[in-house]
Amino acid sequence: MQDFNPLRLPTTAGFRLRYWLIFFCAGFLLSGSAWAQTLEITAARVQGAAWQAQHLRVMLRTHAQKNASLQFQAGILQLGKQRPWQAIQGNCVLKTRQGWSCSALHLAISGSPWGALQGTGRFQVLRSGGAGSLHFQLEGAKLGKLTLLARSAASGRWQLQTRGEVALSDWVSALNLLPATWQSGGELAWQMHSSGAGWSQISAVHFRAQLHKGQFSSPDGLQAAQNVAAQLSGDGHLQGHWQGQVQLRWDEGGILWSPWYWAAPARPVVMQSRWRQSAKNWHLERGQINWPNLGTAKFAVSEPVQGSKLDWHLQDADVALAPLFTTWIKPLLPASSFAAQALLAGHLHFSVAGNPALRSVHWDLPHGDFSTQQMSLAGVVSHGAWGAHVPVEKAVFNWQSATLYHIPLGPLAVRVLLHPGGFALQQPVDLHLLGGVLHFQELSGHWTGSHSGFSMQGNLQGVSMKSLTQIMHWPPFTGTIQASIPRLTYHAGTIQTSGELSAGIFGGKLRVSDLQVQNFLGVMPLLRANVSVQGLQLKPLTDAFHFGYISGVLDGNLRNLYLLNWSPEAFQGHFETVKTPGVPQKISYQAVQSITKLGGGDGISGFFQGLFLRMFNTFSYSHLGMGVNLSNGVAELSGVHPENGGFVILQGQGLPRVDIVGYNRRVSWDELLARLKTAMETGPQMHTGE
Amino acid sequence: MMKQALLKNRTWQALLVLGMLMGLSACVTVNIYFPAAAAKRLADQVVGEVYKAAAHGAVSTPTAPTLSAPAQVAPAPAVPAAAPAPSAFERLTPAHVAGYLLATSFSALSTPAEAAADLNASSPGVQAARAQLESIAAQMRPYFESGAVGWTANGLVAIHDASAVPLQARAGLSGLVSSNNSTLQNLYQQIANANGHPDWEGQIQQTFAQTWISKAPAGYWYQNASGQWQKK
Repeated sequence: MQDFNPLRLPTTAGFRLRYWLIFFCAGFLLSGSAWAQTLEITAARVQGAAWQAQHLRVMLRTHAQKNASLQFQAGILQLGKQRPWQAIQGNCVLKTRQGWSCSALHLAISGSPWGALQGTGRFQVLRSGGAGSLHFQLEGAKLGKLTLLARSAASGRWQLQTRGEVALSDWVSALNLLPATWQSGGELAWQMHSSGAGWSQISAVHFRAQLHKGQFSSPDGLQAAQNVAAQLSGDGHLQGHWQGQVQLRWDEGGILWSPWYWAAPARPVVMQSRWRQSAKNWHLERGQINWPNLGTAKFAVSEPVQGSKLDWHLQDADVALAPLFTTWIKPLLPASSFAAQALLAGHLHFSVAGNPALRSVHWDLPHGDFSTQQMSLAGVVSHGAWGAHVPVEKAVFNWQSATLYHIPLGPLAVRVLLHPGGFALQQPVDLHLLGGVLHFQELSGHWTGSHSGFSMQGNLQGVSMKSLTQIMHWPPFTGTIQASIPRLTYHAGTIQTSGELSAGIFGGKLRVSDLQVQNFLGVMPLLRANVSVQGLQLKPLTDAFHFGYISGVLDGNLRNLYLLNWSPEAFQGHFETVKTPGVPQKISYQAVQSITKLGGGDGISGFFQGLFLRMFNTFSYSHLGMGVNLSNGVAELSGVHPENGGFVILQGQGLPRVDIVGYNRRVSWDELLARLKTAMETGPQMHTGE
Repeated sequence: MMKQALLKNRTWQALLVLGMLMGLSACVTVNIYFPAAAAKRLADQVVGEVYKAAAHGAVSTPTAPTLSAPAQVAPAPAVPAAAPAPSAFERLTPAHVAGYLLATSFSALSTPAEAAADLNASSPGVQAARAQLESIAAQMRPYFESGAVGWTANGLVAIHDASAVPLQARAGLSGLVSSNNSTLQNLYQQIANANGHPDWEGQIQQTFAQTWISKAPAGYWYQNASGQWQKK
């Protein structure tokens, strides 16, 4: 099947047309001397390689006056694969004094790719020796304005100049530029100059099309453009194959291709390229894009004429990270993700290629910054490569400083191995924070498959509790955290561990199991875990607060702990001292007061009772413990064991002996926190005992 | 002796009848019906708070709901528990016992158990879902007010007329609607899970669907049962 090319008539068709014209002209001449005569020529079908016309009828009628009228009709005109033109009718006043001119031309077409067309105009044909010219003008509602000037020399060389203005809507649908259900609008002004050595061949073309107030919209409105002003210009020359250059300039308007939206910057976006058609491919070569406020890039595109896939390259792109992220990357992120609120700064150099799926990436980030409400990275440097079909590529990722939930992180230098589906650390890496080190024994990421995300394994050494509690505005703790981190994964906003996190704290061991954080770094993160402590030394713990002095060893657990936005939402907790050889179990008067207040009492209120107890710095105890079940904003309290309808929090031993028994089992969680705060903030800090 | 033997015989007969009836009445089908009224009250509360958050444009953690009593399945009338104490039993004739047990078992079969009056909405999962929904609500409000989006008949949000907002505002619309629907779906599932009935998700969703529409401010668009868009 040969494609129709309106600029190049096949030789066979040319012969047929010439014979037809000769016959037509001969007929006219033969009847020209007659008075008020009519010449009518009909043809059932005239055809070329890519066109045909049926039911042709031309009628020339001469009158007593010197003017003659010309009428012509065509039942069907088929051009290439386009919808056929039907019922074409035209008439005009024909003058033959200076060449042939046809004025007061009326043209009506009942069926065309543009629907019904009507227009008025004129044309003039001049011949001088072997040279000739044709001047044609037509104007109509859908046709717009069309002016055509063709000149041919005796040698056969010809030139054609055309220009016109059309309303875009009908033409877009007629040429199937957009799906039939889409709406479009705007005005297009165009002009084209073409020339050829022989009348059936075209050898050069120059074109320019200018769009004003261009717009389109899909039925759902998610693909649309408004008030677009753009210009497409270029040229082409036939030198064995067609080649030339093309430039697209976008001056005004906005384009939405959900989820992306681009607004024309103050200075126009310009894309220019050389183009070439070979036997098998269309090529755009040595292309350049200049997008003000974003950056520049070179590009090349190759598309086979038949079959195969489009091949594209974007090379040496130099773009500003901020607009790149805002305009191109952010729309791809879920609206609620933490990264969607990120701010970026810096310049990125990169090259990408695809056919048409992404095939390779090379990048170089000499300096960049990244910040969100939850984390920030400063002085980011990265370079590397990735290939969809390359088993292993390498990349470097460094930062000078960073923060995570306001926790300062030290510099990082990471070398990673990139494979088509993800990355992995080339060697273990250390990240310094809060006087300690987070050691990444393993860190990997996967971006293909259903379990895309990150996973890590490592440990934490020597992290200062004092610094951590200060930054997090928690009660001040002392000591350091040593923790082993089993496999920890991040997938679809959720962090979870497959094993047990363990940390050394206050001489004891803290274990966190079944850890899961949903919506990590997002809005309202929800943490779920089971926590247990063993062998916690109460002395350093209580030293950290204005709570009073307690010595002893504490065991306990928080089961089904839920933190919503890092605040406790629910848990079942129970903590109780365990007798340990060599560790005295003593409690100060101040601590007794604090625990009494925590349990809902007013402290040791009796005058003589208080006076008596004040005489002693510390008291011995046999059991100290408390249970708290938090649910629905209400904490249900318990102690080491029940007694007389209440619960024993402190069971003393020896003399003087102090017992604390609580009777108020249910208390609002906010009230309990307020009591804890009061207990820790009031009263002098007393350091007693050893 | 004869009288004692007769009494002993009658006691054994009564026990036999009792045993048979206990066996019969143990085959009770307990139907747990969806607590529609409680779900409606919960939907009223949650929807009200989300609309309020949208109006104020503030992100707030929802307070603990007042409808907090855990759902409890009313136990089916258990025959052994309903049976009289042995001391009383001795004073009853087998006919009395049989009549009572028949009535009880009939009641157990013909009066299915119903779920407790309130739905539990205090689980951390529900709280998180509500907080997330309220944080998106302020972003969704302009789209609802302009008619760009509306409520579907199944308690989710769909794009009604994207062209109702400027091009730039449309860019993130699909993603926002998608996030909102994920959060809504999660809320319905979390409420169902919190009440020990993951299978209630669909009914909870339908209850919320009606409430989103009934409590929506004037001018909001919604789909009716046949899927046609209407303006409130």
